[in-house]
Amino acid sequence: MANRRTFHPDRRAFLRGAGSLAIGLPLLQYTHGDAWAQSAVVRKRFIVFFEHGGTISTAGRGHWRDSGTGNHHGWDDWWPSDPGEALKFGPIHQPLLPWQSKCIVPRGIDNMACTKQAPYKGSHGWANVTALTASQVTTGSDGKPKAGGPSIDHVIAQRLAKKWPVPFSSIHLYVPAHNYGTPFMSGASAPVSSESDPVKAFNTLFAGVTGSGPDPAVVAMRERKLSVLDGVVSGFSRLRARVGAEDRATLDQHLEFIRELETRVDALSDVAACTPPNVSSSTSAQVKGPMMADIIVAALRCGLTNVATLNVGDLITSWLNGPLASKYDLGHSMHHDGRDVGPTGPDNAIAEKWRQEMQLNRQWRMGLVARILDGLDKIPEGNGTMLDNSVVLCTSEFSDGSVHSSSDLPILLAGSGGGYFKTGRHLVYETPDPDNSYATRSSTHNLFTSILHAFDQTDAHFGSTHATFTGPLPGLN
Amino acid sequence: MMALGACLGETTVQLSPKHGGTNPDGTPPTGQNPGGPAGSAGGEPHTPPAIDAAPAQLRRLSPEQFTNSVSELLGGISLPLGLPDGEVSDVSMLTIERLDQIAEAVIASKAHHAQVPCAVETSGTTTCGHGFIDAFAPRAFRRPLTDDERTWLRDIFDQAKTAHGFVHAIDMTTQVILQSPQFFYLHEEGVADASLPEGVRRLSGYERASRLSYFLWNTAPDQTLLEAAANGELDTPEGVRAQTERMLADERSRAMFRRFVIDWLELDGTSLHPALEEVVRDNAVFPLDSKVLRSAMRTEVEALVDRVLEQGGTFSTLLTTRDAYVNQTLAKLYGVSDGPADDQTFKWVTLNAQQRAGLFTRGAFLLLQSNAQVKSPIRRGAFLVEHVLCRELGEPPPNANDTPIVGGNIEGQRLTVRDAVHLNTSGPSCSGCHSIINPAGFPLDHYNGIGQYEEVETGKDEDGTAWELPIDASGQFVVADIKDPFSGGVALSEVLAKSKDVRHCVAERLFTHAFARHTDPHEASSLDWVKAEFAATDNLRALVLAIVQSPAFLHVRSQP
Repeated sequence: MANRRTFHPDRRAFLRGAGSLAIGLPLLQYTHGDAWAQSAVVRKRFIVFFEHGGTISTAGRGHWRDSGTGNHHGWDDWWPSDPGEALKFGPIHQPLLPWQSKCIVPRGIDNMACTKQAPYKGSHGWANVTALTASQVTTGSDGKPKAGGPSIDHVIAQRLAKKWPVPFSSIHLYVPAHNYGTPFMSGASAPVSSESDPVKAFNTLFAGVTGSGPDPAVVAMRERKLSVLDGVVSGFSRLRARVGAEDRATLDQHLEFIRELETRVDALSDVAACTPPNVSSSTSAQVKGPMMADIIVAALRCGLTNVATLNVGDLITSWLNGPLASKYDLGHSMHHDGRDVGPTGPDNAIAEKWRQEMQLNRQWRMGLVARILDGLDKIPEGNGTMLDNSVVLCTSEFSDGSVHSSSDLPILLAGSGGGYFKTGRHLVYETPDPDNSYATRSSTHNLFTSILHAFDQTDAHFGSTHATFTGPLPGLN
Repeated sequence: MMALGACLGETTVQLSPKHGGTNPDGTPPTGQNPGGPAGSAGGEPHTPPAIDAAPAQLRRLSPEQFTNSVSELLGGISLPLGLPDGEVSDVSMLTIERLDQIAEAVIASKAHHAQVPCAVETSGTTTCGHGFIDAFAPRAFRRPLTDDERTWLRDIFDQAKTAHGFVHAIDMTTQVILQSPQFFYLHEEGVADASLPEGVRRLSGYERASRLSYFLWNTAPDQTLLEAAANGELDTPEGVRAQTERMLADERSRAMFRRFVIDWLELDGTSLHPALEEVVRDNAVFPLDSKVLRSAMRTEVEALVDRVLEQGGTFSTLLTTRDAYVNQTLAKLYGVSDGPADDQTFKWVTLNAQQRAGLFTRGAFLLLQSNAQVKSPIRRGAFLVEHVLCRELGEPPPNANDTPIVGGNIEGQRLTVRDAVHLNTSGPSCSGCHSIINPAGFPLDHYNGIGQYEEVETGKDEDGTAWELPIDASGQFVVADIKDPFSGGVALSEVLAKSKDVRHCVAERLFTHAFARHTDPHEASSLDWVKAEFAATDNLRALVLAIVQSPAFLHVRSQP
């Protein structure tokens, strides 16, 4: 329809061009039973696993570490078990052992956008809105902190979608539990909603994906849907003319999403045949978590997206029957007890049980990551596997959640971004700490810049001006 | 003083200032002495509200409002999916995906074909298609179409009909309407009126109809309301009042009050704690707890709200009544001997006058505001201060410890929960807030982590010696108009029921609920007036009438 071309002729022309090319050339070849791979171009994918509430850590808010001689415990179970550069996983990462040589654990990286802006150098909302945006924070009319820009996943998703058009520029899944807000932003003050129902996620992502090839009904549906969206866009221009500046911004944001949907619908007929995952309806995190991981793997294998995120709330893993499974009702409460289980702490009697319960809980989360790595690593692609061509970032808003510390964050990278990162390594970015002091020059700003470079981007810096230095982390690639 | 209509239940509701209809737009008159308030808890002289309102702002429909509106539009269709839960102000990619899927689902159901004024499969003409647009789109947009909008939709229909035929054209036009911003957003422009202060515009009848309908019924205006708008009835105070009273008499307004109370108590959970049904409580400590109990607790709250409304709508009754709607398990929790013999049967019983009163001595609130193994005077106190007295406490500092505080033998000392709370929160960085929170929560210390009444706290020393300690349930609200000390949950309920600050807080919450957004500074005068009205009347229906007749509800400012 004419309207469509009026609104965004450039992209439409580009997409049409890409579509007709795909019809002419056998770009998609059936290779591995349930996945299609493109012969000519190896795509890179970005996956973010975000766990709310931090990890078992000694990193305080400021320039110190807990020594483990007072009320607070002295364990750091995210750390590798060996201080050397060859990566040897510590307790929390045990579920990831088969992929140890494909991972990097960098230590001593702070979220300086949080530590330098937030009251008390770190607090709930501030840590969350900066965790993946590294942005300048503003305070909203409700008094709450708002992100000043998009999160790293969004930036990469937008750029990859231009390079490799996909139905979904990114997908966002969520296992709900206690949290202080999503870290994912599509722009300043624009939090992203993640899907928490596996069935709904499935219906959205895999509509029209069959086991045998592009569905003719999907191709027909595409035309109708594009016409409908043209009509809707036209309705926006009518309302837009009648509202004030603030409301125009609201409508423009809405319209941006509609255009993304158009792009997605346009790309539908290029989707390969592949096997959708099995999902069922459940409210239990125990069931949902693995299903969400499977959905991500299948969506990546099917070429539905280049970027996926999985966001896990601070939940209690009562089904694991750990020693303290029924003592707490919120993950965050359990974590806070870490301040009381040290030698002089009031809960010292349950210290070992606490550590065991926390380890089980955090290992369960890593089990979800393992499921994603396993799914990607089984697909040969180019000279390696789909995992090798991806970057998987695992992190949290806190290191020690019990003191809301955004220093020495738990970070794990898996996959090398097509050989960009040198994996199998443990990299220490903090200065030595003989007296439990803590110092680092490295921030998530630098980490995210490195990740952009792994995706062949040339940005000099990502995020705000709070980092000590600009540019990527030295020594990652 | 003027009686505000007869169909408000058994009680005649008094609204204190005289609404003599002196302003043509339904606002209370200004510059008159409105006389004193009616009730006992008010007592302050209150000024009539200034004619002012918030600047126009597009408001999206909430997920529930969207689902209800589609159902209202399409003859009660029940949708297989809705918009993302929890998204009430922001729009995300997920919203847009769902809008698309919902529109597809409606088309698949063919429910919209019933609205087409001719046989869809056999006799579709352009005239019939345009007739469908002329009838269907104004109902979707909750107002008449502009000429430009009619052209837009007819063009879509005509082009689709030429390309793919009549049925396809009806389907496509319907899909466009359901995904259009005109349906998804409430858009208000108002009407110029020279008698109003500069910058203030009167909302049109249609705009008022939508405000009323989404506030009271959580759905699009029905035919009666749209007709009232078309006839100009909603341009007058009598018309707004008459429609409000009609709507208050309908079952759907009860659902609004139930939803309001459930949101108030956070029974559906927030991002910080799970819902009543989901929250973990240790069964080894609380063997009576079960899914059945949780479900009965919610049923009880809903039934209590209904009963209060049936009996006239007196708010303080909600806080003080001993009437309880229980099944066998819930009766057991309350220690009631004449409860039903099974859990399928519910009946009204009267609770022990020494142990129980209204909402804040009931299981739903007490269980949710506890920890996994023990009651939490801190959670309970903080809730009462923040949500019942509307006093902001701010975020706890990051070094605040969220570990549940339990009593017991601690370093050789036998401590009640109260003792342990005191010990843990008396440091200088804590006491600022906890000197407010703790005494508000301690009076509920006779209720354990699932809301059972206990006379004493029990514990064991390391050598197994069992002991019990008396419970000190004394406390006070140090930040409100009710500062006198008291003891226990029954006294707490009576104190709250008499407090002007509590009524102001509830009025403010319902006011905010009515607009579904933060209150704007231009609405301050209306809000103050509504608060004073509710403090005086203590009546939930009167509160609604005050809100819908306040200048803020009936007007809008132009958006810059």
